[in-house]
Amino acid sequence: MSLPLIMFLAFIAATLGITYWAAGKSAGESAFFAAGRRITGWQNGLAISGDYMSAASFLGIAGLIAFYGYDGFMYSVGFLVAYLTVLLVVAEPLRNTGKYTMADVLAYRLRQRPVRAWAALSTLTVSTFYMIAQMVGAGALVSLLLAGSGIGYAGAVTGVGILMIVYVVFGGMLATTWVQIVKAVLLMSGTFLLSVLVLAHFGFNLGALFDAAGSVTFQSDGVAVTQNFMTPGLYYKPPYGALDLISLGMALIFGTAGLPHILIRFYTVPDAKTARVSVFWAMLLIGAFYIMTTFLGFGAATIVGPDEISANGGTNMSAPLLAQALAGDVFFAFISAVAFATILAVVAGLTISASTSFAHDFYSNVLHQGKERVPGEEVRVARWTAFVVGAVSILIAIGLGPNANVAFLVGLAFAVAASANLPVILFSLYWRKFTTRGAVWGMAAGLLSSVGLILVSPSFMGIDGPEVAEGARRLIQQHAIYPLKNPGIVSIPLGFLAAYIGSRLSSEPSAESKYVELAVRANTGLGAEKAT
Amino acid sequence: MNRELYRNNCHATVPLRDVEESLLPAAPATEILSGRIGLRAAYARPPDCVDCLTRLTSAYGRLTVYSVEASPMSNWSRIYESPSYKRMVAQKTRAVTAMMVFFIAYYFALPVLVAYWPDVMARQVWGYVNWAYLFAFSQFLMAWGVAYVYMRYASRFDSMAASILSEADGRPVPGGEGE
Repeated sequence: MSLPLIMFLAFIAATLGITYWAAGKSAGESAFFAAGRRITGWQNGLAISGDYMSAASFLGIAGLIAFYGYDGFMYSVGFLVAYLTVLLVVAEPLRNTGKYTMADVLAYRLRQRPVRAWAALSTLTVSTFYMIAQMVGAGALVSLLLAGSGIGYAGAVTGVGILMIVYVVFGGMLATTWVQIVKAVLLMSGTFLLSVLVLAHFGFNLGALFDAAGSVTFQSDGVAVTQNFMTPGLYYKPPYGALDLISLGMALIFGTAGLPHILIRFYTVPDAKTARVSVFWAMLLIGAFYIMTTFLGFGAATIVGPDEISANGGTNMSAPLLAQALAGDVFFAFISAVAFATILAVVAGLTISASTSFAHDFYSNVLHQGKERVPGEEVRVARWTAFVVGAVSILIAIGLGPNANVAFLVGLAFAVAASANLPVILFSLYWRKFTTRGAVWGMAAGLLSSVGLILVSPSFMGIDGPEVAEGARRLIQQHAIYPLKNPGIVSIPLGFLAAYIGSRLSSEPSAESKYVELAVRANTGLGAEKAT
Repeated sequence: MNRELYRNNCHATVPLRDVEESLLPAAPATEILSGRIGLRAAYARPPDCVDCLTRLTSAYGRLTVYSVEASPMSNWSRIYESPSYKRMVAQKTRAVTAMMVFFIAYYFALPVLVAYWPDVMARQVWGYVNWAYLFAFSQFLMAWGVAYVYMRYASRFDSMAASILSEADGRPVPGGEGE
């Protein structure tokens, strides 16, 4: 048995133990959906980090920096700064006014059914996009890391899918939280060790590392090129690159505060103050992590080299290959296990957020007017949803295959969250005259425009050269109508505008009069959900 | 307690020694405060609430009702209209808006400067490290700094909120399940 496989199995055993422990404590609605609201501030800070820092961050960004330097680092910057939006305007009022989902806040003073239906649709869309990206990545990665063990792409996808179903169905939010906490600790220590080894390689001389990164030599179209990796524009190239980076920045800065799987984490703590403290902890960890992506990326670029990485699995393998080059097979196995843990924690978070939204928003409130016909029905529906979400994700990921170009899906998830979710969250919390029509228009416009723009963007449209593999070719072989990879710069203003116009064109006295109640709750915590 | 009911609740405070438990409304609506008993009876309609008080009064001639509220959402509106609440919200809005504007401007300055002044941003400051990369690093310090400042402000707002709640009579807090 290979060393990485042993470490994978050790992590699986540990998390199944956690799930078994959590299963005994997950009876009841608030226990299943919100871990009884008893997670402490630093625990939730770790769990938020674990929920947020996906394989796309750990492997993807390290890889982007290893290949494109500065442009890759732009993701790191955006991913941290985005938490200021969460901290300043969303976390505390959300905790004070909601119960289990983002839609609770929207539906507080608006008409339940249309608002919850759209919110559930948007939540499921964001979660599905994010999930498919993770699953395809997981399959490709795990089969690569475990090369030689006989576990192929489909086997890896199925394994990851089954594990996430087990965590959520049996352990609910409590198990998910602790899987995320364990993962965050593993990820932080792995990244820290790797960074120290990189710095040690350069004799703990930061200047030497940056000097090396200042002249990286690699093959480009058969010609050796030497490039300063701190130069902007290596990935986002002219003529639209600069605008695309701004568009990406908007999706990150406004999208994080609209990601349903991050938002529901604030319901797991006892009160708004703890929610705030947990964001602060998360910011320290996430910031430290993303600063270290510089060491990982530049380390991989200078110690391993882009050509070597390309020959051994591509950008996503940068961090594991760096680990191997610096400290051999055991460390490679450890970093691989960290990547595996990273994937599992994120997909578990996505699964529980999708199933909570379906059960609480759509099944209970849209279909059955908020009444449980049988006690415990909502939790049972959520468990079934988790199962279905998992099964469908496995099938889609296997259907797409390991070569599918899915990297844009994470960006799309952020764009939908920023365009469909954030405008309506902000308006319902801070604008008295916001109405149901405004909410529906805002969510519809944000959702449809971001998905629509992606369909006519270079992610789907473009002319591929003959060297592109069959499964990775773009759907429409024509020049893209929308020239940017990131729809945010158009779709986010559209989401805000539609929500504004819809509200202006309608009046809803009940929503207006209930604003008093919502505002007092949001600002004082009066009547907020208690820990159980 | 259900929010719908809470909006129609009534609230009477009477001396503790005067009341026998058997006469009180069902348990979840009652709450014992120091030295007094607060009756917070949740009724679907305001008249039911008044009816309860009438029954209690006829059973105890000496019963003193300190306050009765049966108007919809009275507690929320009273807090919302109070000067201390308004003061807190005004201060909060000012602080949060300033921080939002600052961090958004600082963040987008980076891609905008890189887009429109590429030569300046590519100028090397320390070895190969250029202004663009340094500015990118400074974003981390900016984010932590703003977060720290906000945490300081927020604890002040916490204590303001606590005093608003304690000065709002009736210490209401309808606990338990919302919706």
